Amino acid sequence: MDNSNDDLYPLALLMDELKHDDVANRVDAMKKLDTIAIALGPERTVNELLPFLNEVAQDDEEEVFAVLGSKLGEFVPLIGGPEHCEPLIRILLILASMEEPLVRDKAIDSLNHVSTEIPHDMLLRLYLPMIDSLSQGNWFSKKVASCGLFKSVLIKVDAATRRDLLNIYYKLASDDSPMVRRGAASHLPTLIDKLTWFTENYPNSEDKVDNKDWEIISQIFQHLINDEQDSVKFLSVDVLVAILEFFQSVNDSSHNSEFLISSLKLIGDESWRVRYTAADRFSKVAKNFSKNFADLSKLIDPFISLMNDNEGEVRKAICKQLPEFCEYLGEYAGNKDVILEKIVPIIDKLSQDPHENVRASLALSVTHLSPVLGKQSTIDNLLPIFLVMLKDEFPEVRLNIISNLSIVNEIIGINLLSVNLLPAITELAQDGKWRVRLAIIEYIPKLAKQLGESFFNDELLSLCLSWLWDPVFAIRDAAVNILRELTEIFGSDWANKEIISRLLNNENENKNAEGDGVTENSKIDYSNFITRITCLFTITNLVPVVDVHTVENKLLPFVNSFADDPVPNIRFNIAKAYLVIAKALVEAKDTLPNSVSLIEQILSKLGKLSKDEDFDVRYYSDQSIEEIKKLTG
Amino acid sequence: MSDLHKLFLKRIKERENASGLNTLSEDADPGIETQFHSENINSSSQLNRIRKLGDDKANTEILEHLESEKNILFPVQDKYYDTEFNISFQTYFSPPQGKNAPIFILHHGAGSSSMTFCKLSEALTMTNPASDKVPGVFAFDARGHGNTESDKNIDYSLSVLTRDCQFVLNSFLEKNVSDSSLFLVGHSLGGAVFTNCLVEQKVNSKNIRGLVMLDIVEETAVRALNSMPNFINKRPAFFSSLQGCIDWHIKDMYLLHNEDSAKLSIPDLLNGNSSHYYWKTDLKETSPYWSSWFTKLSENFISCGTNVAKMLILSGHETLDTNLIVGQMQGKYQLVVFNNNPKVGHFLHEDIPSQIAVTLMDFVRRNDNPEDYMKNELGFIPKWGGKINR
Amino acid sequence: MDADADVPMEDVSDERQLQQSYDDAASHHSYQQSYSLKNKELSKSNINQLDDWIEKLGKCEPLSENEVKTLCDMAIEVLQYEQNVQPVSVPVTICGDVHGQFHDLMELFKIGGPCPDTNYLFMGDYVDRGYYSVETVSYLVCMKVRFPNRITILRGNHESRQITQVYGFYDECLRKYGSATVWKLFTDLFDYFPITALVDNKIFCLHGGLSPMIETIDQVRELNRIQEVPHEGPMCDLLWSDPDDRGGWGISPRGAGFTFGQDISEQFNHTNDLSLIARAHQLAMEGYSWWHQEAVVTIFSAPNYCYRCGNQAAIMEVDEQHARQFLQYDPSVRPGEPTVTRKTPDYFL
Repeated sequence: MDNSNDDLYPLALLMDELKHDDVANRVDAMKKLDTIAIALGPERTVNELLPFLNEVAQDDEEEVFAVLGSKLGEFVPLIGGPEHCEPLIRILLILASMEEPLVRDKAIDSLNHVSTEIPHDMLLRLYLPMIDSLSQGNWFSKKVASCGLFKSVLIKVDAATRRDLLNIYYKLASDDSPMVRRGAASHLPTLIDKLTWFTENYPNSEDKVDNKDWEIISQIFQHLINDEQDSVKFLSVDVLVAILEFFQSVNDSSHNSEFLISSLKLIGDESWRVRYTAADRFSKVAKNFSKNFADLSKLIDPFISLMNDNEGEVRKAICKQLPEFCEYLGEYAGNKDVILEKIVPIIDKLSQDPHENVRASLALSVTHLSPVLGKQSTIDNLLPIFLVMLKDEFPEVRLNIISNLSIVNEIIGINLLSVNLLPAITELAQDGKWRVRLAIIEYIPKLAKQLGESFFNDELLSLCLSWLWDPVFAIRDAAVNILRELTEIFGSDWANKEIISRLLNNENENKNAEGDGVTENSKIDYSNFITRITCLFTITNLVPVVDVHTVENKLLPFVNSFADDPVPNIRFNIAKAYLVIAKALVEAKDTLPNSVSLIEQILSKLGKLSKDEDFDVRYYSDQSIEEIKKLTG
Repeated sequence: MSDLHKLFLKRIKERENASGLNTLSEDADPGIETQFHSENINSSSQLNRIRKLGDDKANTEILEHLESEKNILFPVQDKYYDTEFNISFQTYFSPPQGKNAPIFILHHGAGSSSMTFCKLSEALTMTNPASDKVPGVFAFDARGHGNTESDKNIDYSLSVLTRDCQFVLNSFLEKNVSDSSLFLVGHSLGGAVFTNCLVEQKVNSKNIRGLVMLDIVEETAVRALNSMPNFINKRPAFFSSLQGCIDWHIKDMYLLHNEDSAKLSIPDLLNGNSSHYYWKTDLKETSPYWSSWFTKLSENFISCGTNVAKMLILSGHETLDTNLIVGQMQGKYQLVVFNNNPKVGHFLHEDIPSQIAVTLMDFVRRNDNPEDYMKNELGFIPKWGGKINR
Repeated sequence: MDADADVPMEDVSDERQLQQSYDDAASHHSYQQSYSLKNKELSKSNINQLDDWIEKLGKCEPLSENEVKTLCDMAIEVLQYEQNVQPVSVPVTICGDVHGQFHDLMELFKIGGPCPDTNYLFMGDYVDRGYYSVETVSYLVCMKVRFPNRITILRGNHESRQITQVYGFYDECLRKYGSATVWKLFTDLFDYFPITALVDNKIFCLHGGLSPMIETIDQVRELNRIQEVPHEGPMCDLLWSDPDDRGGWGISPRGAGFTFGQDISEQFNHTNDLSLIARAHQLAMEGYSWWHQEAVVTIFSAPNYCYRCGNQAAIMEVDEQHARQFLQYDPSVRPGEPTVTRKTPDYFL
């Protein structure tokens, strides 16, 4: 490759790379296909690149094919428009007929994309024969490929052709090969959605969808729902949803009883995969019956049976459906009692399900029942469940409850919520296992946001401060960090009044002034090293989030007061704290006139520390001096 | 072993030597070369065995050698007759010499015999003739093993083997009244039998000072039992010559690594003559009792026998189970592992008898009489208060 | 009967072996010149290198062989000037056996706070039994070199050539480096570790326990410690002995060292004006255990020892007023340990 200006260079390079022994190199080369096509220009892409790719598509490995299949979907503009697309479609057809599903899917997606970029007559001329011949293919992979291509033409043909197509589809859906039936089942919902869209948008078309079409679709559905293979049958749930949505859109409920029977059959299927899918799409199904109280009521028992399912995955899926389904039920007076009598007891049971994932799923949805059930029922029936789940050993369960408490807050009010909830939180906050304590601490900022400042101050602040004196460092560290987060939520004044004044032992002055009789006992005893270093960490951590006057008047003097501490560990942390303060002062130099002199003052303190007897104190002082000098220029 | 692996091991050895690492092997050079050599001739060993067919002279020589060694090593060879079970136990005794010389009581493992301890006994009794104190050694063949005579349909359960052991030891103590300290040394199943003896406390002696188990760990043993049927099936039913059986142990199975010892231990395992030697002990018969042998062994080893010092000697890797780890980490016994030496296997007292003897004598030195040990061996008397515990 | 089939062989190549011997020959001279730390402080580049290593090791990634070589040379320069009875000031957090349980060591720092903010005193047994002896000892030695005033690392009975050949450190080095070079570097370094520490003249800290040949702390100061742990004698005893419920001295069932009773501990504390002997060496199910009416405490910092013993671990914080606080902890939460297949012998009767 002596001459990179050679016009053939990009193609030669690609060919070279595509001959590389390592498949990863060939995949990488294939990913650059569009760049090469642009370099070659449309004409040479059609004349040279496509024939070459036609060969490649018959002799390489699946990873390479998959990339080729997806790249070619974008190729219509690169070959100068649709008129030259036949060779392109030919290559895609080879790929679409392959046995490897990954390659096939990419090629079919690309074919469907190409179909949107070519004129109508060309579409019919090229795609209809292709679908027809694939559907009669001698090998399952061709039939599967044809299933995926119907969506490109189904609503672009006249009524008679459409009926022919649906009849071909019916044959595919009842093919001997389960893979083909699977392919038909998985693409059917999209086809139905297309018909729904067409009906909504062209209600008066002469080619509009009629009962004969629906009879075929209904027959296909009956086939799928009775398929002997679970892997086919479970796909019919989505077909049902699509069909229901169509009739919903045309306000036709005459088939409801029929579909209800199908729904119940799927919900009660002996295969757990089918039940799982039914559970997972339960609300979508229920939505289509929600306008009729009698129909909807018939779904209550099936819903409960899914909640009691033997399979954890099914229970997990149905738990997610709780809020929506109960919402539909709640729209009818009297159904609230049904929820309370029939569903809540099962929720109670599921809150202690042996599978942690079921509990986590329930925890995510259960708080949403509060608006449906209203204030009193929430207090009487749901709060006890929340409390159990708050103490769950699996952290995700606790997190999911806590993260959604604001919903409950809106219904029953903060006071009631707090009275009921706080004991549980306080209990967890004092758990013997430090990781449980840590889990609660991490939720505190979330709770604080939901509960508001005054409630937080009254109920949770002292707990937060008490974590600063926990025997386990990781808890103290977490407490230091949440105090900073809380300051970001409640603001500098709050931090000043509620945290800094306490840590600096001058809260008594404030409180006494307010007539709030706090005794001398609440003063912090600084004789303990851990207490001192924790306060220092807390204060240092607050520097960036409080206003600079607080830094100047409170935090800096506090740090100064420790500069002669007997323990070197405190002194080198003072050196580090000076850097943090100096950074804040530099940033605020426009609003703080004396920032320059304050920084001078800090540098002189650091200068003294840099002559300390301890190496680490000297080292960190020098580090801070160096950094501050960089900052101030 | 792949060539690469051999090369690798050799390199490690070289680097170890360069690092001044003591290689824990009997001879100065672990001699990986020798081992490979033996592997190379392995393919023709089948041929050798056939050629030896009918080689009466060689067989006779081996048996005569065993007989003479046996008589030198064990001047006292008695039969202890147990009327209750109608068993006549073969015992071997080399009496202690000198005041307060200890006696080692040895118990072989399943499928073995007292002759497995020939080289160890030699190392214990004959290596230091100048000493005024020579330890005694007492060993016996378990029922169904060696030269002990018993009826057919033998019960090999641990409780019965323990009872046998108690019978033999109590008979021995009656015949040989002495104040000698006793150190129990059991190989494999023998270790489990001695441990059970200490749990049951039916041996009439206050002089048991130590318990040593050779290469037995409950968890590992229980796991290994699964592969035992396979091993037993692989065992040839008979050998055409005694040398053929010795070669099978050393060259085919790598069970033994010391031919001098194998020449004494293997002939005692076989019956027969001229060209047809078969096993004295049918290991298949023992299989119903395997589950009883090692259950709770580790727990019992840690807790049995107050004021009995304990030692566990392992070959290969340190493979302690949970009870043994906890016991070791609480300082309940001494652990010695002979690892990183491919020439030490399960029969480590045969493979490296002198090293095992040194380890045992050191164990005795510390534990036989602590006060003397401190005074004589360490050359000092504690300066302040405190009595010295046994 | 492949003796050591679990040793990966592909790690070894002729080139590497040659390179190593070249390094061995060449390095001794040059490192002497570049890392003379005696009475000097760490240079900025030393500190940056150490900080990099600490970060790497913190992720449980071992150093390269050459890095270990450099580290050990630096560590010898620090440790050889420490005393047999290394003085330590309060506040300090005292820890027991770690045994290669690297993730639990990281848990320990979560409980006690990170070094250098918290001062630490480790009483030996960093290697063997756990799966990450290399990372554990590398990490602690790095911390020691980086923050010599903040952390003290004493020698345990496992910091010895002989013991590490049996209990895993030697095999782990072979497995991770393909040769015994790193094992040799560390075991040579272990000879320089101090054997005892004295916290504020009141708490005597050591791995094992007392020796009948040692009456006063000054006698410990007279020992020549820079050697392999001997089989007998005072240095051996300090690393091997255990307290006992029985009074007086006893022969240790471990095969080395002694057992000592309450009378002995009280006498020793009285003679040397001590408030406490803190030691490690023995598994304590609660992580720590008091002996001899609080004259002696055992601290054990390897939770669920060997990943199977089910014990808690503990550390002891001593504050400026000498008040003690024990912090107990459980094994760290971590993805499953690598499964080490234990060879099952063919024949076991």
